[in-house]
Amino acid sequence: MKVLVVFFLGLLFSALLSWPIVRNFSRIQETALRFKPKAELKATAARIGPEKFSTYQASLEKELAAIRKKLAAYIPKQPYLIINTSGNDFLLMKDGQQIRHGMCSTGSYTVLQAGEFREWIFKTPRGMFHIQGKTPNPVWRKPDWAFVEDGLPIPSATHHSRYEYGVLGDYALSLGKGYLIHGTLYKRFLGMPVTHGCIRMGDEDLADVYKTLPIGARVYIY
Amino acid sequence: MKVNIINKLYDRLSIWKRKIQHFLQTLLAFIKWFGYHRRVQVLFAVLVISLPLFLIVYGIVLPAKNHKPFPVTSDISSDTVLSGKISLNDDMLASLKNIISLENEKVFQKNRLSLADKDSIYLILDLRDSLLLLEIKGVPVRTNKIIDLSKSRRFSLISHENLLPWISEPFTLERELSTIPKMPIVVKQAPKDTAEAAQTSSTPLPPESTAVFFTFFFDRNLAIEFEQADPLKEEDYPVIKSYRSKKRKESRHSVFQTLKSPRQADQPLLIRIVIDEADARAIYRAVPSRTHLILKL
Repeated sequence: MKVLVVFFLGLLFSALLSWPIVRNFSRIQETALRFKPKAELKATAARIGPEKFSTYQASLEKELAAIRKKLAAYIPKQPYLIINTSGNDFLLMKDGQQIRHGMCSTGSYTVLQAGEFREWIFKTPRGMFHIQGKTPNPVWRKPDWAFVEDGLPIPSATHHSRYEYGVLGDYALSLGKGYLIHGTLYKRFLGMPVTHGCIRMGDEDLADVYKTLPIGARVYIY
Repeated sequence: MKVNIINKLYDRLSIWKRKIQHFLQTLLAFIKWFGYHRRVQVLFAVLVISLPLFLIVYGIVLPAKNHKPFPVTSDISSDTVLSGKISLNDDMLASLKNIISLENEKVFQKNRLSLADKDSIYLILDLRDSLLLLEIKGVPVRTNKIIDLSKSRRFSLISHENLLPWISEPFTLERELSTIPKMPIVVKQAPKDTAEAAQTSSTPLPPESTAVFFTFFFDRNLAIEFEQADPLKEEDYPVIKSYRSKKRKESRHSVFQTLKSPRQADQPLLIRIVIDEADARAIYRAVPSRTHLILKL
């Protein structure tokens, strides 16, 4: 009986001692690796051959310059816009330099459910887009969700109640698929994710963005 | 009545006192017995150290001793044999270090070029300049300064010959652990009429304040831990506790994997990064679920 107690106590103490090892396993492994010698460079020297160091270095520099040139072609020559949907701010860029920074509003990530089969998610798409059109004094053509959200019946596609004046600010820049960069009446919400997917800006910022970005200019949204 | 209760309580206490005395006497007798039997003591000591010893030998010593970086190709092995005959002076060594740096840079820029052609948002981790960049089609859209950085010791054990093929392709995100959701979705039911619509609040929700901690597990055994530099608030502790507990579970799982195969060569390479909370949140939300990462060494 006593031997059995000793046996079980031994197992218990063993498990108790092992627990900190299991908890800090990777840390102990890292410490154990301190005793391994650091990697040597001789294998690299053998691959290149010490007598070819200078020619190889020159060829590497040449290749690198060619790759950098190809990469530089990806930086837009004309001004471009960067939108941060997480922080709700934007950067207007020209020649790789920031020329304006300001607050904006992007998609609220609200899912509007109307019945079992209809729902809309209000998020701003991410990726690279182009300015497809520029409109001064834009008129908002209200989509179906705007009526559903207000508890109103959805009118026909050409019904006059679809058109609302003065709510999109002085300018609108189209990104395609119905997404716009436009102004807002709700300036106190700038810097917050409150929109239905469009990008809202303050009046001065919008005017500057409208004047700076030509049609075809790139807009990067992340 | 009161006297009765006190008497009952006193009786119970006496019973417990006797029980404790009996237990202590048994324990003392057991310890005396244990002290007299040398063989039992040896058996006890062997039992106690057996499991920790097993874990240390099979889980730590053996993998560390047999640690082999990856991927080891036959070409590299033959070069390593040849390398025994090479001696390098200081000038050659400096030149070789420059070549290594150029080779790393070439691989890095080549990876950028390959991802710039794809329509995706990807990450660049520049360990040389302590920078974390977000790029879209070759254009850096966000550059974050890394406040604190630490990397696994395994990096210094891997030779350039093995490291170069490892970083020569962009890494692909396989899974992740995080304290914040990928999309802060709020579900709203459409109002039935204008009266119900008028009652629903149009005020936006207050900005999110949950602490941002996440780990990205990439292919080829690369894991990157992102932590916010900003101090934690009291309400963050339960979220952080749950995140850390999930991570510990992962770690324990890897312990058992190591025990199953202590000679495996592909131990995970971990990099820990500390950045601002806003940067961490923007990075986590911006990258798609199968994003790519380019590592610059």
